Amino acid sequence: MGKRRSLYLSFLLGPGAFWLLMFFVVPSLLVVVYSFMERSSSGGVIWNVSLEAYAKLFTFDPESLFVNDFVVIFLRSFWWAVLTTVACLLIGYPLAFYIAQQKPTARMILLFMVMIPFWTNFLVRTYAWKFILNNNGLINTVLSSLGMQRIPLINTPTAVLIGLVYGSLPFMVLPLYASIEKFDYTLVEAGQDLGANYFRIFTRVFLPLTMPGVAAGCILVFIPAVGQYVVPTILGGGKVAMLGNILAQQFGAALNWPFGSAIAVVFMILLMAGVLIYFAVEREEEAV
Amino acid sequence: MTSTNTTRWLLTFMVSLALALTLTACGGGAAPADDSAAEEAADEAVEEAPGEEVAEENAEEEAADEAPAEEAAATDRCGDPSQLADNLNIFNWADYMDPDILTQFEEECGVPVTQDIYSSNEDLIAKLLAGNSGYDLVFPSDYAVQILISEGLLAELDKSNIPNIENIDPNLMGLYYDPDNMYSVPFQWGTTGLAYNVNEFPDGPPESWAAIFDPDQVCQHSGFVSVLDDERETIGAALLYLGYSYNDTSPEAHQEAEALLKAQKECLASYDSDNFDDTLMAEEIVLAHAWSGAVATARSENENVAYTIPQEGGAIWQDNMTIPVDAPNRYTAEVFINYILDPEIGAQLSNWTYYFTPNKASEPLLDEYYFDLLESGGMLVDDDIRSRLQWIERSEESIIFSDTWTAVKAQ
Repeated sequence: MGKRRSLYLSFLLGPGAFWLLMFFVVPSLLVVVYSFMERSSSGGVIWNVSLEAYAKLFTFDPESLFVNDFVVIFLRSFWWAVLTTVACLLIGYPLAFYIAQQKPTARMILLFMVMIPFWTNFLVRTYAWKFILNNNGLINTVLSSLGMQRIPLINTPTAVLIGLVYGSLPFMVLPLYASIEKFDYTLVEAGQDLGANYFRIFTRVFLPLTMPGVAAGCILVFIPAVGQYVVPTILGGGKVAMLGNILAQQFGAALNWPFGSAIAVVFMILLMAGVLIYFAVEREEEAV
Repeated sequence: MTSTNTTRWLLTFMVSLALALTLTACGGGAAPADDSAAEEAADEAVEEAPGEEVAEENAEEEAADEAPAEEAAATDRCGDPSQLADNLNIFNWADYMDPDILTQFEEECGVPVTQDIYSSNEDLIAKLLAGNSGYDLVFPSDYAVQILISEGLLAELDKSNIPNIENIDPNLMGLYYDPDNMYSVPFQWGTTGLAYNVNEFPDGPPESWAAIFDPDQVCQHSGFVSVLDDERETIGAALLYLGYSYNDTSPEAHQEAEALLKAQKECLASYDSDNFDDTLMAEEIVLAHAWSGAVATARSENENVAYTIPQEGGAIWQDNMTIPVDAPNRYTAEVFINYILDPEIGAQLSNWTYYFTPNKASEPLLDEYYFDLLESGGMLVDDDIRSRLQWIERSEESIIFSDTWTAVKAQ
């Protein structure tokens, strides 16, 4: 009986486990293993165990307060991803709420409008921003024709953030919409009957019940934003590096795979830690 | 509330569609090798736009003089047509191939050519090292040929398929990186120097690399300056300004260069190797670390753009046609190399790229405009300039360039 059961289980779990193994565990392990190898001057790795890559990543100059360039890139990427997520939330929440209030047909049309940009390649849309933000681009042409000072936009962190928010917004709006749309409005009436004002209803009833959407949206926006490559390259002029850029450089032109792998490993650990902390806090809140 | 289910279904569908599309945007691209990251997708997008416009511009003028010659020579220029493949995949620098030549090759020999773009030798090397790139022909510079040979990534050429190799200037054959030209045939050569906008430099060309490396001077044009996104060129030029050689690998020299490049960074608009001709032309950039021919391309559209080799010197380089060892269509690639070395095609190529042709037989066929443009723009190389130019060379120690570059880019 026990044997048959375990056979049955392995039959059911087999394909999934195989998939996870091939497409998640093996590649991740490969990255971890590579990060402990020696670099080969022509790309790839030399199969000798070495801590060279981590040593480079964690070499600090005491004069600069134990902050090296890579720490700066990590912090910058995280900080920009946080800004992007917050901006997307501030724009996306009211938008999703507004869409959810419309009649079904209008809703469909509005959702459709959120989706349509996806039909164009992300790169093309990012290049379009370049034409808007250029020194002689749309915004500056308008400003100068109004007799105002041109403002440097392209190749600045501002441009990168605009591009990040623009690209991530739909990933915030759609999950938010999905959870707002499910909301049962009789709960608002209940709140009113119990004498709560709108602010209180929002913070105590509406927001907690739409929290799954907020969480899903934030994760969908934050994680890709931390590793962004295209936006800082195109709108930042390749000057303001984020994690994605430094990774691409190590695996590409710099041909330092162990170092690239080490960055990726540290990055994965930090992200996983972040997500685990999030779930731990979540569970505690639920328990209360 | 009956529509809720439909809405939700539709939403799920759309989200999955969106995710699928985003994934394709990031990972896909059109390269024949499909291990590509967004990086290549970015490069390809750059490639597509300029390529097509230019095709239209040049189409009429040049097709006219080509037509009669084409029919007469058609068969010899295509080698043995029965051995030609159905297509040819080439991997090239941006704006480095007259699209008309590709069209003509297809019409004449029946082989369509697909071109992808890379922006540094290091990108090319990384791509070929990964294996199965699917490319039949690539265009590495001198020192990169040396690296590719030492890694065993290039195929030996069958010279009997490339009779036009005789047309090449003997001075440009047998250079240090491939002494017997077993693997490489010169494609174009040029120099690396400074491009400037004459309106911003009314007193004449900048005399020193200080214009772009001295923080005070470069910041006078803050936000309107670009340097090449290339570890060997950009660090090399900084080393030159500091009084070292382009190829210096000593840690002290690199520390100084790193500090200089980091200080320069805040006043740069961008690190740019494939778009600076457009930005110079549009005056989005008024001072650029640049390759001679691309600057000439910008000058052909905007006469305010000019070029100079500063007092400290600059780089000279030669790009080459080489065949990856795992190229699927080696014979067709050799036929294409031979086609490029045809006197007329060689002239057509340089008339379009504005770089220098290694092809002696093509020189008399170059347009007068080509020489006028290069002479007035400061791109021609005389003995005085030649004496100040250095080749980029590779040694075991030159890995330090990658480290310095990582540090600069990471800041």
